Amino acid sequence: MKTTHQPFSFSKTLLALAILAAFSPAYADDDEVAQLTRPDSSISIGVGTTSGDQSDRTIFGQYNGLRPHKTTLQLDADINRRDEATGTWLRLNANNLGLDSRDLSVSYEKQGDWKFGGDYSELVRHELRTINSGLLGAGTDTPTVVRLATPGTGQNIDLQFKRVGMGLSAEKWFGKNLQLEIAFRNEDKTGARSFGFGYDCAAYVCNTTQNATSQKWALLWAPEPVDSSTRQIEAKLNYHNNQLTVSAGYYGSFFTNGYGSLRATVPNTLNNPLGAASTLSAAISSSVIPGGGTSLQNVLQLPIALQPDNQAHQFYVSGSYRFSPTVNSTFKIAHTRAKQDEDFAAMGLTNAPAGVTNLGGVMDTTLVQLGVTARPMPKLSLLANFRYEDKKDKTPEVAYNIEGGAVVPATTPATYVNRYWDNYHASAKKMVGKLEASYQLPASLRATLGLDYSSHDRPVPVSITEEELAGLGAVRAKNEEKGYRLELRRTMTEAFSGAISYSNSKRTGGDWTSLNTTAAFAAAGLGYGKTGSASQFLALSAGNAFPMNMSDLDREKFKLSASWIPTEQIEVQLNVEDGKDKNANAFNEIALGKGWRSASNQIYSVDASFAMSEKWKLNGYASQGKQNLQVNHGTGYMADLTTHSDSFGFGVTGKPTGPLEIGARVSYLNDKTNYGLAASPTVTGTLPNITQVAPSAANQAQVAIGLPDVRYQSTNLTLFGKYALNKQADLRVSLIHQRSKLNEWAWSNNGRYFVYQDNTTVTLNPDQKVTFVGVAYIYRFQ
Amino acid sequence: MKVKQMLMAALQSAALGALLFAASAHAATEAKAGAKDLVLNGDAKCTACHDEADSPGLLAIGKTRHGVKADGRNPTCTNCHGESVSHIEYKGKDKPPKPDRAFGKTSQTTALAKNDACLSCHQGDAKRSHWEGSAHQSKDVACSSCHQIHTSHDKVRDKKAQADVCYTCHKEQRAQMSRPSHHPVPEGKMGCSDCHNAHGSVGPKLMKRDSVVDTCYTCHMEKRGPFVHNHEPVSEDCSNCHNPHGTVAESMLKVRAPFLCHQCHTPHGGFIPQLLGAQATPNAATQSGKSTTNLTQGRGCLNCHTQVHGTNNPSMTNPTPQFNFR
Repeated sequence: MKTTHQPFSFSKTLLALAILAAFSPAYADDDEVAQLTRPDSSISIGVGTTSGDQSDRTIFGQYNGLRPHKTTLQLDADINRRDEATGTWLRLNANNLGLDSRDLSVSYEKQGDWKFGGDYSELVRHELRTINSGLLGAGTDTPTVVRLATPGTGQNIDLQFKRVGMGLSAEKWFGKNLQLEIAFRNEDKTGARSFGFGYDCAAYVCNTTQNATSQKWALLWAPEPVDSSTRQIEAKLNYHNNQLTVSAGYYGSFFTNGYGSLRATVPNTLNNPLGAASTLSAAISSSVIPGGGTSLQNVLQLPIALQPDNQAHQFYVSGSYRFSPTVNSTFKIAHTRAKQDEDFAAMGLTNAPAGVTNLGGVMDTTLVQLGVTARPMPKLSLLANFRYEDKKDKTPEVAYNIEGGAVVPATTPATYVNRYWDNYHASAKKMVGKLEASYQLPASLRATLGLDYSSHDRPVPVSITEEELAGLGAVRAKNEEKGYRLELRRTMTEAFSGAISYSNSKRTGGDWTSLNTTAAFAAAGLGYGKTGSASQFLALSAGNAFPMNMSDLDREKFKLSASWIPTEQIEVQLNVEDGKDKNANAFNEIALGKGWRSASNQIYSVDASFAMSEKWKLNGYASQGKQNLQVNHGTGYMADLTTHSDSFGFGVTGKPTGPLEIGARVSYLNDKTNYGLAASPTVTGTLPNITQVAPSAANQAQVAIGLPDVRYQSTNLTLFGKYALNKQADLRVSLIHQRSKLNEWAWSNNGRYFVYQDNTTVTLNPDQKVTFVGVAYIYRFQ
Repeated sequence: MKVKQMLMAALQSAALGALLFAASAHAATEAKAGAKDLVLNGDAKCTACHDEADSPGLLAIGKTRHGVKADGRNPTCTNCHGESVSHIEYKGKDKPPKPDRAFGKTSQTTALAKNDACLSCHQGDAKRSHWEGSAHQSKDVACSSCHQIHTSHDKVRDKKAQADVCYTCHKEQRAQMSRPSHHPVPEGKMGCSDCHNAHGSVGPKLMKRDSVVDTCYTCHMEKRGPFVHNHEPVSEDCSNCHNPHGTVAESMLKVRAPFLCHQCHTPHGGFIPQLLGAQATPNAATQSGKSTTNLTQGRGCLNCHTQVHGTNNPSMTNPTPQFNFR
């Protein structure tokens, strides 16, 4: 009898298949889950190329390392390895290794236990503008000025400034509550940045004859040489439990400079205002001022101080304490000692007061901050915050200052004697207080009322022999600012949320301290160091200007933000801000207010995003901004400077096919500053009976010409495509096109260059176009 | 015989189907009772449904610090999203009720409740000690407004992408960063968090250090002094003159000289700012150094007043360094 085994074999196979079908997804699932839950790593290597020459990408390539090289290596890595059993991480992140501006960080960490980290970075900033000069030794501390025969015939100098940073850090947890953190960072800076110096002979220094052959002033360009290091070290012990979080720490910061001063060699023949060679003024004789003066050439060759070494040490205790789930406090107490005692001679600086070898600068700062938040009722939140900072300048007072003053009664010819006074101190006391109450209203609305207070105390001169500040009408020992804020906010709704707020504050202050040395002011009791109200000053000098950071001001700001999400796919945002600061100091209505008058800022923006599908997303924005500043010179101009800034952007990302992802983004910015000028009237007569006098014909003719607008436009197009070659590798192609137009008049206007006395000029390609194309292979792994 | 074979084949197919059905039912039962965690300790009750087939994106939390099972401090799903019993036990065919705490844009969960989830662990972080009462906290900004948890790439913690997150609310800074004089934020070399501590700080405007000047000094320490000749508005607040987010004027100045300086000082006679080649009265050989174009073009007032941040020059010979800041 024949027996066929086929059905039996089929059954076995079926059984095997069934078992496999039941259990093999488990094996496939584990791999898939691991893919989704284990840290990823990637390495990207590619090449990029940029169009044009360096002058086409000074704005584009300011920081990104793409300016100096046409073809660049693109190398990035993001490595993340984790030991699942111990929770130990090894991370390495590297960006732009093929470029001048690159960074690398490494960390090794057992999460919740310890961590070690290190980082290295290089950042090169390229000056946007090119300098054409005959200067020798550019970038050193002893450059030599060489007058070019004509502008534009020197060497082109492209300045750059390089930062190389290195950081080390370590953390260790001792149990669950105590942590020690230590971080150290060093940054070396080398290179040079645009700089300059100049002088116009004072009558007690050098000959003040100015004509075609006698030159009494000069403006010169030189780069500031940079070779410095900043070091920061911070060590802190952190403790926390259910209620208390507290840190006790030390923060030390140290600055060292390889250069002490710039000592240029300057020829005795430089340009006159018409560009022809002229001899620099000689020193005045000792018959004019005891000891005689200094020639213009020697003044220009005097050392210019570069930044001295300095250091600061701060000890602090900072943290928060939860009294209860609804009452919380924050605090910080800190004391900082900053010192600067670099030897003057070592800096190459001479003629210090007798017996004084360094400043002996000491600044002690004490900071106290205390804040409390509470929710006494579920719908009511309260906040109070107080911050007090006391900076005491303990630098020794020495008569560092000298100036020739005309002998009184005046002589013919004029003669001078030197006056001396001490250095100015930069002490300050600041207090800031805030109270806020917030109440939850129906319809998901929350109303907030806030009260703000701040005060600022600063030292002021008391005697002309002790210290003298120049170029100012008066200073103020104390300012206070008080204000309130109102806000209505709607959150927590599916479709619509937003906030509208208004804030208003007024800054006032105490009496003003006079810096006036005239007999009229002294006779009125407002001589140097004496105090009075702004009106009292204006009664003596109708055009007295009061510094911007000390004057009374009225400040208000309105803000509106709204977010509308009509569907899961669409979101629209609207933002409006409108703020204005106005000088509220007294001023003479006939002479008109002087100095800073007002500033305002408005911005309107709309943002929208639309997720067309799982694979395609659109986003865009448009914004319009306007800023205004009004400032009046003492006797010359009245300026109304308005900047209009319009920008928009549009982007799309999508996956047209499974392995292909593409994206595009275009953005545009148009920034235009209009320099509105008017000629300021002057006044005649004796206060209080003064009358306004129309501006001079010369001034009126000049404002009719005015200043051109300064315009900056930037258009940026970015395209990318990423194709998945397989599960682990992608190919990415990027294209960036940027067009930047910067029309400004600081260095040239309509083909006419601002020329230094040695025929140095500064240029910028005003219309820059650059295209970058890059291709990269990205390998991903776990 | 043939019929018998067909019957056998049919029976085996049925058995196969039953076996397969039983296997999957068995698997489902296993998930519900003693189910296996997929990514976090104790996540089985959630990942029974939100598994790699249903919600692959959510599992990416495993790639992050929150996904380290060996770290006993780490939460599971319900620590953040709440026990969500009604969501888990829902048996209907419609969309189930949302979890107790949802963190999406359209979530009904208050910012306070969302933040409580995060602060239950992160309350003790030294870097977040000043969160309560900070600007963001008092304006109902939730941690999840800026942070993404279920992804290995939290944009706000990546310098290259961080600013875009901040621009969601801070539009003015977005426009300013596009201007030619700016910190290298658009280039991804710096982030907003290099100057600001979004979690709260003692300084104004959420400055990382205790004041504006102390924050700026961390990189620009050469400006700290003290100097022989100080310039008071410099040591008071760098933002008296600079806008660190970006300007068209060089050196991030709010406005170029002379207008900047004339907000406080009004020296050198009644001049009108003017340019070479655009003058009602062109410069003559007798032009003064403190003249019109010298104060307008080039570096403006800084053509002569060089070290405007302060100078350590102690020289007691004329001309004094004090006024020229040299």
